[in-house]
Amino acid sequence: MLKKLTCLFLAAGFVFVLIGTATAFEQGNERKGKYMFRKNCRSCHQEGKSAEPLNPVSKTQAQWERAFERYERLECADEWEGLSETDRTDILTYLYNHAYDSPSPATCE
Amino acid sequence: MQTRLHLICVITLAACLAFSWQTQAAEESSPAPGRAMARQAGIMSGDWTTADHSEMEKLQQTFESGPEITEACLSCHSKADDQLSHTIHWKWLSPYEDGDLIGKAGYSVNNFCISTNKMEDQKCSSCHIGWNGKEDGINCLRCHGGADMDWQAQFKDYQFFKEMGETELVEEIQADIKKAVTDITRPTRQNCGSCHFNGGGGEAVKHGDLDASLIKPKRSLDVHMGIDGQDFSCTRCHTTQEHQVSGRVYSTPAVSERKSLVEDDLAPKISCESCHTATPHKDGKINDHTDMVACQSCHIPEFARAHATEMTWDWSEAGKLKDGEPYIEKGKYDRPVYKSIKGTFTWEKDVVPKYYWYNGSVAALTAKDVIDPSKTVRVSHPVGERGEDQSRIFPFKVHWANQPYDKVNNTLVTPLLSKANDGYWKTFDWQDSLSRGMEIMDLPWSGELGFVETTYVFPTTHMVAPKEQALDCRACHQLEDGRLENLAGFYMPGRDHFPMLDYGAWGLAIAALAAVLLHAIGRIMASPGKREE
Repeated sequence: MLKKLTCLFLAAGFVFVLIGTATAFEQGNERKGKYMFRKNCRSCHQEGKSAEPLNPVSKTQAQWERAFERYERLECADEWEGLSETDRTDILTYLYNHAYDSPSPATCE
Repeated sequence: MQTRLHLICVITLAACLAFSWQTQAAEESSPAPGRAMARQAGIMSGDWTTADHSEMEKLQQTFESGPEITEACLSCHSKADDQLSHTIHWKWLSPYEDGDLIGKAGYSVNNFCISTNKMEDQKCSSCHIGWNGKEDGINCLRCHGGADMDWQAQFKDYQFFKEMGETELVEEIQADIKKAVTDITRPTRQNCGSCHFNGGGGEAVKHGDLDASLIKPKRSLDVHMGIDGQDFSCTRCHTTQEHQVSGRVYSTPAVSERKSLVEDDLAPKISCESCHTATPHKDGKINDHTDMVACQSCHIPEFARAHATEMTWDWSEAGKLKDGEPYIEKGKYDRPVYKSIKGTFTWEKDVVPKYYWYNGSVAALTAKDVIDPSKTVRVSHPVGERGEDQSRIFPFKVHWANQPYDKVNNTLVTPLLSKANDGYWKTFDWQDSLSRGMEIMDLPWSGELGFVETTYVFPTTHMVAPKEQALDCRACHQLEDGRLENLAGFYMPGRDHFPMLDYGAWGLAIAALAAVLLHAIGRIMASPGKREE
C-alpha cells in the first residue's frame, strides 16, 4: 500500500514538475489567440510596415513570456492596454505554443 | 573729354549689370520648359470619385467567401472581370506574345527566385490577384481595397469561429469584412506595393528602384511621389485602359511612341516625355542629349537610395543546417546574408547603375533555352543599339546569381521551392525539388545538377531625384572612370581622344602662339625707328 502511495505521489509530483516547466502561465484559447495576433499585432509587425516583422518563431517561449510580462515598456503599450486580459493570454498561448523552440514551431518561410 | 569717356564707361557697365541681373532673376522665376509643361499636365485633381461604396445596397450583405464579394462588385462593374482576365496581372503571361512561353506562368526564368513553376508554387502565387492564389477567381480588393486585410485568414477564422458558435467573434470578423468591402479606392501605393515592393521573395529584393521606402518617400528620394512634394500615386503615370495598366517594360517597350500629352492627350502617360516633352531643359545643349540619353540616366544618379537592395544571390550555398535546423544570418543593413533555404546574398545601398543602349525591350531566356555554362549566362539583357530610333542610353540594376542548371541538357532549371508544396525549403533535397519542379513544367531533367553564374537586368526608372541631384556633365564627359566607360562605338567629347590629333592640334596652337610672339617682337623691334622718323 505504502509502495503504491509513494508511486502515486511520485507520479503526481512528476506531472506537476512537467506542467511547471511546460508553461508558467495558464493556457488560453490558442485559435482565438492566432486571430487576435493577426488582427492586433500583425497590422504593424510585418515586412514593409511600421514595426519589426513578428511571427511566433521570431522568439523563444521564454522570450514571449517575458515580452508579455513587461508589455508596459513597449512602444505600443497603448494598443496592449486596449486588449482584455483574456485576449492577451490567448495571444501568448498561440505565440508560446508555436515559438522558435516549441515542439511545433509556426511554418513561416 | 576724359570725364565724358568715364561717364560712358560707367553707364555701359551699369546697363550690363542691370541686364545680367534681370536675366538671372527671370531665369530663377521661370521654370524649365519641361517643368512648366509637366505642371500644366499634372494639376492636382482632388477627388474625382462619384460613388460612395458604403451606401451601395449590394454591399450590405453577409459575405462568407471571397467569390461572393467579387460577385457583388460585378453586379455593377459588369465588364471588369472580362477586361481583367486578359491582362498580365491575371494571366501572368505576356499579353503581347502568343502562347504560354513568356511570363511567370509560362517558361520564363529569372536569377533570384527562379520560377513559379507555372503558378503551381504556392508561395509565389500569394502575389496573384485571386482570392486563393490562382484559384477562386479575381479578388478586386487586392488593387481596389483601402483596408489592409489577409482575406484567406479572415474567411478561415470566420468559418472556424462560426462552427464553434463564437457569435461575438463572428460578428466582429464580419463587421471588419463589411468595412473593408465598402472601403474602395483607386489603386494606392499600398495596393501596388504589396506585390511590387516585395518582388523576388522579400522587400527590396527584386528592384533597386521599387521598395517599401516608396510608401512614404521624401521628395529627395522620389521627386514625383515624395509626400512633401507632388505626392503622386503609382496610377498617376501608370494609366489604365480596360484594366490594362501601362508601363510594362520587359519583352515589349512601355510605349511604342514617345509622345507628349501635347501631341496626344489620351496617350499613356508613362514615359518622362509624356509630361515633360522631349526638350525639357532651358539649356539647348542638354536638350541635344534627349535623343541619345534617357532622362533616367542623369536624373536617377543612384538607385536604392533609401533601402538597400539585393545585388547577388548564390543558390549553391543553400542547404547548410545548424544542429539539423535551417538558419538565417543577418549582415549589413540588417538584411539576411545567409538563409539555409535560399543561399547567400549581398545587399547594396546608393548603387551606381550600369548603362546600356536600350530600346525599351528586354530579351530574356526561358527554361527551354540552351545555355553556354562556360560563360556568365545573361538570363536577361537590354535590347537596343546606338542609331536605332528608339534606343537611348539607360540605367540598369544588374543582379548577379549562381543558380541551378542541368549539366546534361544545358538548361536553367526550375526547382519547386515552397514548404506548402513540400519543396526545397522543406526538404533541402535538390534532386526531389528539381525532378518535381521540371515535371510540372513538362521539361526534361537529367538529374545532373550544376550551378552557373548568371546576370539579370532591371531598368531603373523610379526614384527620380530632384534636379539639384541630377548628374553633372563630368559624370560621363571625363577621361577616366566616367559612367559611360563601357559604351563603345561612338565619339564622346571629354571621354574619347585621338593622341595624334591631340599632338597635332597642340603643335598648331604652339606654332600659332610662337608666330604671334615673333610678330609682336618684330613690331616692337621695328617701332622705335618709325617713331624717330
